[in-house]
Amino acid sequence: MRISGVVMKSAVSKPATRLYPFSKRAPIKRSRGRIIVDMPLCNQCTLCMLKCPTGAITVDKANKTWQIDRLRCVLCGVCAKVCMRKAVVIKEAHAGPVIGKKVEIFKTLEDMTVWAWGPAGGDAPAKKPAT
Amino acid sequence: MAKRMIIPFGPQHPVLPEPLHLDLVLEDEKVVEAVPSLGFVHRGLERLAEKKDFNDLVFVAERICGICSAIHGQSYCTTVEALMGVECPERANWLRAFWGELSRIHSHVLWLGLFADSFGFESLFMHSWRLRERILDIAEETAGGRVIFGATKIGGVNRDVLNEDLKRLGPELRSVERELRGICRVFEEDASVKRRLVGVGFLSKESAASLGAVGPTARASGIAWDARKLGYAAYGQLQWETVTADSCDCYGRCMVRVKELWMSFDMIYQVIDRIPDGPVEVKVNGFPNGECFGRFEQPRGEVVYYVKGNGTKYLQRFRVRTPTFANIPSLVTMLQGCDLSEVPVITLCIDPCISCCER
Repeated sequence: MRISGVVMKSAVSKPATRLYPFSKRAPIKRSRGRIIVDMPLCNQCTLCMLKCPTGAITVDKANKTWQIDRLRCVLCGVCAKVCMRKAVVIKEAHAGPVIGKKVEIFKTLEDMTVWAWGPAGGDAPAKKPAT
Repeated sequence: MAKRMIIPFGPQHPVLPEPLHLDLVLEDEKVVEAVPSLGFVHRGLERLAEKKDFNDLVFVAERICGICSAIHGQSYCTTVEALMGVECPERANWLRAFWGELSRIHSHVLWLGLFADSFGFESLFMHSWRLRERILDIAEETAGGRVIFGATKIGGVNRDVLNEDLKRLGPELRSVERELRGICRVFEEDASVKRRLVGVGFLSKESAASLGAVGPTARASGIAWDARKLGYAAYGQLQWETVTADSCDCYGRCMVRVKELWMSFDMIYQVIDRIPDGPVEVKVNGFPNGECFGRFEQPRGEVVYYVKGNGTKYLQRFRVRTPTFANIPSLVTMLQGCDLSEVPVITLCIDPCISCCER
């Protein structure tokens, strides 16, 4: 019967869970949520690609793209640490859920950063980048 | 004459979070013998270690086990640092102890929930896991990761935590501790819990010693040994005692873990109050050459790390002896003579981590 106190307290307090996706929690400060790149700052030095322990990042100098496989990335933060121009940064908000194994491609088009989805492990970026 | 039969327990069983298989030889409802078999989740870690840079291997070591990941990472880094003669900065050592104890708390609370589930106390299971979330939030705020902390590196730690941030966490931790004490009182005093645990899975002190039991399994049989007493990280400078119990049964193992929770909270408060200032990482030059053993205390018991380098960036040999592996002979002994209905409780009381064990 020792549990009764805990149960009574829990019965009169707010639920421990949230009604996701209607109510979302603010990202926790200093959390390693996801890696993003600021393409106008990126000079395609490929240092992040070389240092990535899981090979999640691919930098294509010819097509001026920077792509990341979010399912390979372990969020160690090495890419953000080695980036000399501070183009690669860790954001606190986590990446959203995905359905397929695809890579996220960042591309510079007339000084505008766009991203698109491409097949994982594929070399060519997506033909029709969505804004 | 009693009817003899063999029934399989696992690898898929409602009480088991991971695939452990036991062939139970029964005489009516009594277990006469238990034959364990492992190898369902073997991942080839030792081969992987031969083709990964020794710096990147920290991330692999952290993924040996999901629950004691922080301590696996620290154990690997400490062993390689000892091999290379790297002196880890003082503040990094204290932060490692902080994250190590945070990891121990979340592991023990997770285990308390699973254990409650194993004897059918579902509300206790849910309340334990509700509180574990708050511990994980604190881990995310300090280390950046919830379960895989990813904060350790060879030569120190990846990120520093501001002293003000640590001080701010104190009241939150005390609030979690207060709530946890309410839940742990159920484990300590509830009559239905006691009926399921007292006298179940007896393992004498002599058996525990001769079978090589480690961690809370050994400490509940009265063996006062904790690898943290070796003084790695900041454990040599913190004030704490080894928790033991003399009842030698499942209730004793549960009580050891409950008391270790309070000890871990106390150590975290000490770290918050006494953490020294200074750098958190040193630059590591060269490659590991030679071999080194390391012994560390995980939530489940003592883990042994063996690292052999050959002067290149790839290790020649990397071996981990995990506590679950050391506790399986004790588990088999404890199961002999018990009722079939007690098998889930006894299996859970060694806190089996099969992915850890098989790597």
